[in-house]
Amino acid sequence: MESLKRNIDKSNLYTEAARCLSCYDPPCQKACPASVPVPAFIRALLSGNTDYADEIVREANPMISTCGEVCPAEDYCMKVCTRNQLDRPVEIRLLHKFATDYGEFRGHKAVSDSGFNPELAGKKIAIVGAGPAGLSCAVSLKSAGASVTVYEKSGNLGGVPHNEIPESRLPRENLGDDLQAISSLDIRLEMDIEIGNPEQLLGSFDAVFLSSGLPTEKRLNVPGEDHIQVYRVLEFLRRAKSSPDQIRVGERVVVVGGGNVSLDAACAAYRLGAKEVHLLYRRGVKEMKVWESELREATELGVMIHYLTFPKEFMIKDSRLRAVLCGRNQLSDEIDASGRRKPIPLDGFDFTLPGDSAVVAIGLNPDGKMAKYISDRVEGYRSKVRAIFLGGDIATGEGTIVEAVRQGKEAAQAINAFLKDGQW
Amino acid sequence: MVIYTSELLKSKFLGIELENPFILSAAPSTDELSIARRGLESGWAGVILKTTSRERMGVRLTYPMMSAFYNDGRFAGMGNIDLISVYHVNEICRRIEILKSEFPNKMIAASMMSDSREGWQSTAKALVDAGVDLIECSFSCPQGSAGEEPGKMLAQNANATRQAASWVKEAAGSTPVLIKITPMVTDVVAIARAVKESGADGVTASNSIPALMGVDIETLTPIPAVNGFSTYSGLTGQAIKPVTLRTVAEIAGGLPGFPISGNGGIMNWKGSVELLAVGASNVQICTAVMLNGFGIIEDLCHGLQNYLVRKNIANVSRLVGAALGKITDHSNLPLRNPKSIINLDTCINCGKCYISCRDGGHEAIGWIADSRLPKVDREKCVGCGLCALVCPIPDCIKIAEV
Repeated sequence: MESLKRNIDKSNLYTEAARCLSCYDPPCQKACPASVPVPAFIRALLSGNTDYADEIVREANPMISTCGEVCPAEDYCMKVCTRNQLDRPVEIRLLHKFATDYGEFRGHKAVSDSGFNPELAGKKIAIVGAGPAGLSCAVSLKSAGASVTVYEKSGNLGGVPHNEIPESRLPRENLGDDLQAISSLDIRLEMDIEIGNPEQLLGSFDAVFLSSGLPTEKRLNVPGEDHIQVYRVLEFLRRAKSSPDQIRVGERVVVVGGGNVSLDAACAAYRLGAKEVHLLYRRGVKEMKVWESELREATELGVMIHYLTFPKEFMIKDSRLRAVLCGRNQLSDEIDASGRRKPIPLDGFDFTLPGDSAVVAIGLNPDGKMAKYISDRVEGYRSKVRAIFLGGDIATGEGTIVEAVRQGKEAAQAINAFLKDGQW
Repeated sequence: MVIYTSELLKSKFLGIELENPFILSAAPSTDELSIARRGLESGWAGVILKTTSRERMGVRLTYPMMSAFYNDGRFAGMGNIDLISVYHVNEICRRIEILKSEFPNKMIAASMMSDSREGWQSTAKALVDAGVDLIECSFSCPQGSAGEEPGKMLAQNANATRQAASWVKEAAGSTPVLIKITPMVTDVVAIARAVKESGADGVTASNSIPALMGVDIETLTPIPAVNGFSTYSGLTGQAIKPVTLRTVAEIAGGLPGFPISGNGGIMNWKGSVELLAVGASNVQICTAVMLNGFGIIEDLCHGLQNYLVRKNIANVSRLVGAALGKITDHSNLPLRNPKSIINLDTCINCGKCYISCRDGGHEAIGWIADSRLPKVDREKCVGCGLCALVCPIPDCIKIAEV
């Protein structure tokens, strides 16, 4: 698996860094949700100023080490790299990975010169959920001079990257570097505390940022779904990461879903010892919402994708999962709410796929208790309730880490503006 | 039509037949018999054995002697604190005899250096007696040279050059003598003229350039560091090519017809065309071989040969000095006012021309943000040419009168 990972080290840094044209009004930087200053950090790498490169990429994106491993850069900065018109894009992600791997970051500035807002001094902000969105918001607000408390219901910082992204894709050290840098700021962390009613926080905080992600799994509502060998994807990924020795997937694993999380689950199943991994996706290849890099990794591992296929029943015999009864779809011309062609079941094409275990990864929802804040959300990261903001996956559904970072940063600005003028 | 390509590269230099214009210069690649032999075997037209001297001249080498400087990680120039050969003249004479018998059709030359009339003359005589084809005299080694004043190169003083060169020529008799000079003078033509007046046959232009290769910013010790100390190096490689071209052009322009063996910074066949075109009769190479090996001779010969065929030039000697007539004083240049013409069809929207013109030119290129295209303001554009230099696309930007 390691062979799939390309790398930039001291031997080939200059060759790649010198490929950057240092464009005016750099398209890469504009395409980066976190606005990582691409030409500037690459120029710093070229001059041997690795520490500064590390500093400015991390100032833009507090999750930069994590993004150095998992950001689908081909779909952001590298997609618009001017060099696409010459030969191939600059390996921007690998270069910022170099910056964070080799640079010596000396901690976030507690109060950055540019971001400091004296009116924020003494203001108290609560952040609910310590994933990429929450932590980025915390860093921005803290850097601007506010007093920040982060509430996290689990015992860990990092959210999805910590709990669910397989270690094969994201080594612990990289997330650890990000969390360590964030910890250099004086941010109060309240771990193992679940906030059931965010409005109560307004008694002691001036504003609240909800970034509690998508902890609830969507159900298929088909027979056999609750069998012990039919895993919910979050539980599956967490156990695969935290205690891989205690999970037995058998030889054949059937994963249901068509997003990046389902690909993560399929890859994880291989690493847990499966010989065959099948992915059932109800629509066609064009409708699949996955990052190219993840799809490539999955197919290189051998994941077999069955398009236009959906599970009708998880077939249990002698209290063990034996097979999955599958139905076939065809795509209609009708476009659904997601903007994709709607699948229609076909009669008479059902088949069974043998399986020792299955993983259902068909989508995630926010915690039901947070629903009242999300509906009819107004612009500018504001929830329906005054002084409560929200961002990250809870607001926009499953997204990338770098997108969550953008939302965290922008929400911090919105909170900053609100605390200044009190306008809602 | 059959092209006898090898004929294209043949020339005669001071009566010596050269199968091609590429000669291994007096340097490490010619300092061991076995290495020089392999160089000749691989196709080089001749060797100039590394500078020798009389036994009484001590050669105190210290290491490391090689260094380099880089631009964005790319090799830009090489430096050495090498000295003349540790092999004295008797050993060199032995090698000349061996190489002459093994390679009767190649030029076997030797470089020498001394510090007195007797030294110059006895060394030259010994080399002639050994059958050397040509003697080159180093009047310009940056690290150690017997100038008329301590620390000064012989070739930095016209009178000293004339004197010493005439001693050598007197001793060498009919054997051709080249004086290897330095570009580090106020008037290089005056030095070359002194060589001509001495009776010597020509110059080798020019030697490495005294330089400080860099400073290790961790230790604040200049490089190369020898036990915590350093000294000035001789700079070679691509960095010095423009200096060599200027030196050769000035001499060829100032002393028409005076033979010049070109040396300094030529890394490939294109560079050799340039050096020949400004007046060198042949091309000595060292650094390119030290970096890439003797095998580059193939590309050098084939590149030059293909060029001559393509340009319909009958022989390499026709190239010598071909560009000289186009060098004039700045004050003689016509006044022109060309403009930058950008081909927007091949533009890749990087904006480098915009940045350079804005901050290093005349604020004559605008930027259309939506389309990411540059736009030349012909009123402001003076046609300086900076934009064309920074454009990553060949021929996208032309500087021409409109």
